[in-house]
Amino acid sequence: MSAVKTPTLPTPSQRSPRTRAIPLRREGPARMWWYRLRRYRRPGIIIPGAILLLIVLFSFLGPIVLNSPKPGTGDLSDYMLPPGSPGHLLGTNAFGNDTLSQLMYGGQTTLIVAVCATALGLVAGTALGMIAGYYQRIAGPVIMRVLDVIFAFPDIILAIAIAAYLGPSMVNAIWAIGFFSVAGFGRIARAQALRVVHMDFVVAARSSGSSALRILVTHVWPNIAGRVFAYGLVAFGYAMMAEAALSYLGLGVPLPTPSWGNIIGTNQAYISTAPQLLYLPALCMFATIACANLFSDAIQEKRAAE
Amino acid sequence: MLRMILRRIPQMLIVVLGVSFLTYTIMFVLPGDVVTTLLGDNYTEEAAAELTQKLHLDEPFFPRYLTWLGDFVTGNGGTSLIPPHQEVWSLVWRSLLPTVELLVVAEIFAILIAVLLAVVSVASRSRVVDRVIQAIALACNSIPGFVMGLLLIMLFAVQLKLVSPRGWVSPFGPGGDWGENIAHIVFPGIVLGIFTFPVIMRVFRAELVEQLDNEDYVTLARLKGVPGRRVIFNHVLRNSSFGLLTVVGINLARLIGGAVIIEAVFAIPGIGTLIKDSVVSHDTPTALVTVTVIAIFVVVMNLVIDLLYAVLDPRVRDAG
Repeated sequence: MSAVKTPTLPTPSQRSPRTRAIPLRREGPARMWWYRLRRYRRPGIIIPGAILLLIVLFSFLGPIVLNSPKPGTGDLSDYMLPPGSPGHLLGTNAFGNDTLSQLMYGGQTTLIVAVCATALGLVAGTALGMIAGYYQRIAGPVIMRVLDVIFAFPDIILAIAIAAYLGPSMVNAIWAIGFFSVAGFGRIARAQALRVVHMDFVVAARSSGSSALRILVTHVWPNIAGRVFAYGLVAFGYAMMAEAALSYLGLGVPLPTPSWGNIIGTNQAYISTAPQLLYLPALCMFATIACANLFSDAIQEKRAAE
Repeated sequence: MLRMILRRIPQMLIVVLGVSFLTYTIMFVLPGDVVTTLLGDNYTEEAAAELTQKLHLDEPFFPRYLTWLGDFVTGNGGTSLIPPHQEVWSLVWRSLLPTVELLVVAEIFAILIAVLLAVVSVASRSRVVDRVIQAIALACNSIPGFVMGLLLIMLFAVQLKLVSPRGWVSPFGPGGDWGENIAHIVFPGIVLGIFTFPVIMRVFRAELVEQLDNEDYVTLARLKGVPGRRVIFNHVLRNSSFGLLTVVGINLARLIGGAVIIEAVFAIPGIGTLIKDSVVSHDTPTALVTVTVIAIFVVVMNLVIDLLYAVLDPRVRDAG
């Protein structure tokens, strides 16, 4: 194989396996993605994105790197140590559990619940919304009325009902929070689908005999995905708040599994003696939600500018 | 106007029925023996059979829902499963006042602060002021309601001792009076207002900017030589207040959701506490009635807001 660079591309008739092997500079998929991502290189996107990444790394890799004790394995004789104690950088709680380790494992729980619940709402809500936008005669209004019922209703009350009856657990918290996030995604997806379904390429696909499923998946979805994911970040923030609220009421993730919400809820009594037990998880939650919102705003701004 | 009301009523009924049916379904499919709970130590075979008959527990799924619905409509909400087995309606009635007070204070505060910040951020024409206000809104929107409640209690009640951490003093009980009652509800109300104002502010600000940029009457006022601030206060503000109504309506469900949490933080014996306790203790008659009452409240408030909208804005009135 020679490294000769041809000044012009060979015409199709000349193209043989050998000439194709000439190492023209080829754009691999990784490089393509890099080019696409590079457009988003601006501080409004990178800073919140980096903080989000840091929080995820802190929660999931932190316990491994720092070799933290598992949650709920604290020594009762080490109870309520102040921050800065030897071996317990951020002190301990009333059961002698290390606060730093609780924060990291709690982050895992909170992030998993929020991501799974949002994903659940995204998949179900977007599917319903796209169907409602595509079939505008009967299915659309019916679906939208059902979503209106969910939307008109204080979400947390429904989540409390679901979580209380299913019993407090991590999986049930995901179901409860996911259920009420469906309505938001449904609305966004329907509004976006309505914008797309009358465009020429959809009409063309329909007239060439594509099935509804095919049209929705290959033509409608790619055109609404950006908006849906941007809303997904906002919904992720709501899901985190809902998880925290449920845990605070004792209906979310049950102890001894820590979550940012139940750390705050269970340490409420120490509000004046050990306030760090409240404001550290609160700070983590605040940083995550604020960065998710900022990230979503910045990406939408960027997309709108293009 | 009348036509608008008539058209909305079936929609409202569907929403209320949907919510009550959903709650009923959750209640039906879940285990839990009502009869044993109610009878307690007085349990005998005959008493159990009699009570089952009385509560229609032997009926199948749909007829039982219809029976419940009939009872609900005729004002028979049943009795609570939790001793001392009070009438559900009297429980709901007693919990209504704290929640309504909380919601009113929160809504007033939220609207005031939202309008104030939105006007300042638009009228100041300063990018810095605008950014700072946006940041405040973002911060308030990113803190869960109960965390905000706890932090503010820590600051104002524990450290500065400016307010009482107690959220509720009954105006009817011994030693209670309305002054004390109002004084105690203001702080929780403000906390709930802080939690809910960012959404209102964001929409209202967008509305202000939209009107300032696009409406002809703004251009006309400017051409007449009306100074910048007065364009906002005398012209744009009034026209934008219609948009405010809508967002207040949309925000209502979120406000009530927040009220549940704030009631838990401040130990206020309101509807939210009632719902939470009844759901946790599997007190289904209470849960069902309370949830349905909230659904009716939300739906009726939305109708009232839409009607107000129609009254205030002739364009909507004529279209309806």
